[in-house]
Amino acid sequence: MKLFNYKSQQVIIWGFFFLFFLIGLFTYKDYGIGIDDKFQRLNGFYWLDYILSFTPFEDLKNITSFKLNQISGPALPSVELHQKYGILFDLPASLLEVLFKIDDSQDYYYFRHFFNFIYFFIGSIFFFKILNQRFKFNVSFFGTCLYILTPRIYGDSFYNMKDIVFMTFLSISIYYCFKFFKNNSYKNILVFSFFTALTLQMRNYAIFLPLAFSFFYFLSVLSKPSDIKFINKYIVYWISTILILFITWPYLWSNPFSNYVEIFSMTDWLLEIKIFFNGKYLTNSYLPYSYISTWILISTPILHLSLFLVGFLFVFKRFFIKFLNVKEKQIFYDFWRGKNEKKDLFILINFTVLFVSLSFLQINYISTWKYLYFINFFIIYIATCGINFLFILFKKRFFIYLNFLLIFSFLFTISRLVVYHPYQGLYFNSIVTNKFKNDFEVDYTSLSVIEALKIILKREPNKKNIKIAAASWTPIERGVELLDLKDRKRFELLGQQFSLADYIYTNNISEVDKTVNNKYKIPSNFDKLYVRKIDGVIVFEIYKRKK
Amino acid sequence: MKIFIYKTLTIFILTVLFFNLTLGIKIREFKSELSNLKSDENIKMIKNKLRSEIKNAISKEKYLNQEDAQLIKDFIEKIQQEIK
Repeated sequence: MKLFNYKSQQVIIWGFFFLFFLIGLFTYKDYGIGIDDKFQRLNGFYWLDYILSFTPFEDLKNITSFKLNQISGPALPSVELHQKYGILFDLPASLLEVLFKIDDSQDYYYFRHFFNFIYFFIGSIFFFKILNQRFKFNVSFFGTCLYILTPRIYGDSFYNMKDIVFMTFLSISIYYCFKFFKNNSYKNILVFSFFTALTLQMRNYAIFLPLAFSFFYFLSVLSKPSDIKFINKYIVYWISTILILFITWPYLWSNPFSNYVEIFSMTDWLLEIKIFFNGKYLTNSYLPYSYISTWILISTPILHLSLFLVGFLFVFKRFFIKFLNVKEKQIFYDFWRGKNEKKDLFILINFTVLFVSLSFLQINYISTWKYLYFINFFIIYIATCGINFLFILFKKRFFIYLNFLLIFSFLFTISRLVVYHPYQGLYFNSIVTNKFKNDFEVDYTSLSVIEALKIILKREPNKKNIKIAAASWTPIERGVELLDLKDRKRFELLGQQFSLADYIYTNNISEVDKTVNNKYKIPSNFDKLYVRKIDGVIVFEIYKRKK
Repeated sequence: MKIFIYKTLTIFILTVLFFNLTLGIKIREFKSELSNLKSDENIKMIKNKLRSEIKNAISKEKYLNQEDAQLIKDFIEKIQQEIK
């Protein structure tokens, strides 16, 4: 059943994206500053300064060096020690900051947040294009809604400059990968290799992409030995990916191969700290296998999870039946019948391998599962397969009802997004009890500092020097930079020197076991002044010294 | 040939899964316990517990019961005799 003609589809989808863009445009200033914002800015200026040193743009270089030297602060990692991050967001953001002469901290952080949203917006368009090449319009539309309405991803799209940008480049890469599956031309393979290289620059996990792409070619050749004739294209793909990676990533310029190998030891510098998980403080080097699955289960909406389950079972069953029926000689490919089945299987295998290996590998995760937010791309694609399966199943009798049911579910998810605003990045789904929600780290990125500071400012309109300490591992210095200029100087930040403070801010994030370590224990001469709760989740608390 | 490759791949994947879901879980639990035991916090906690027990003992008028006191006295005397 076709509900809309092509013209109506174009109006709906572009109207939808326009509305989405407007929502981002009008709300990006609501979000607080993330813990990484300052370091990402430093990273951007560091590499901009490095690149400009090879150019004749002296003025630009001078401004960049000046800005680079100004970026400092407590708890800010050294960029020389942690220079292995990609530059695809940081460098253009820094360049635009210089070109548009954005000099105030509030302005450049807001600008970066909007720029971050633009990346997510572009990623969403590519995600829609991937779905629209595979499914009918209504299924693709619903799939894109699922993608955008994933609360943790939506919230992070305003301040997570690594994982969201990585997910965007992953979407673009997979779009061109699928384009190559459809038409294996040299043009498509070169564009795909270009985006693979950019994705690899953002996160080393992206190595799965060229590996999976080559593995699928291996499966093709096993099924149809005549496909060996395409090997040249795969060789071109690998060579151009490596070359583009070296060309586009200044980190590799000085010593390409050894520097690239070093990236895989990137987790080495991650601190061994305690993580509050499921009501216990656990060492992050030995987190249980269930860490990722638990986080996905509690922080993804039920609608997404249910559709994912349907989609996963549907695609897996199709693959499993084909696997059982493999014969030594057959006309078709062993595991797929057409391009669409190949795409579904590509996503299913990538998801399964990534999910299982990232669960089993000993990785020092911190900050919930945000490093793995790119997995959401696969979850939503598989959930869209679930929607497609349901539409095929109910195409005659319940087609209209199914559309309404999905629209109603999306409205419910939107209402939850509104409830959590601007903390969608800290979302827990509705089956999790309030007690259970507070058995996990919530505001791991210290997003709430800005709100806490504004509350204190309201209560102390005349005080010129407000002494504030933080009973938290996350620094509050970053939040101050997002305040109006006149208010920034009114705060004296004291770290954990509670004895000198007028106020104590806590978001309950601790790198030590709070049950045995009193580092963040609120002294008894402080009273609880304010608690910010959303949907039963304690986001932050403010304590005030007793008079 | 391809059937052999598929079977080999399947067996390899199942072995990795089986290892991780059985022995792997136990090894990680053991490592986690060991890491907790060795942690600075745990050592600090044990020291604090010892301190509080000693303080507790000092503050009490009588820390040991009659039977334990006699037992310890006999034991010390026995050791003293043997090391003479």
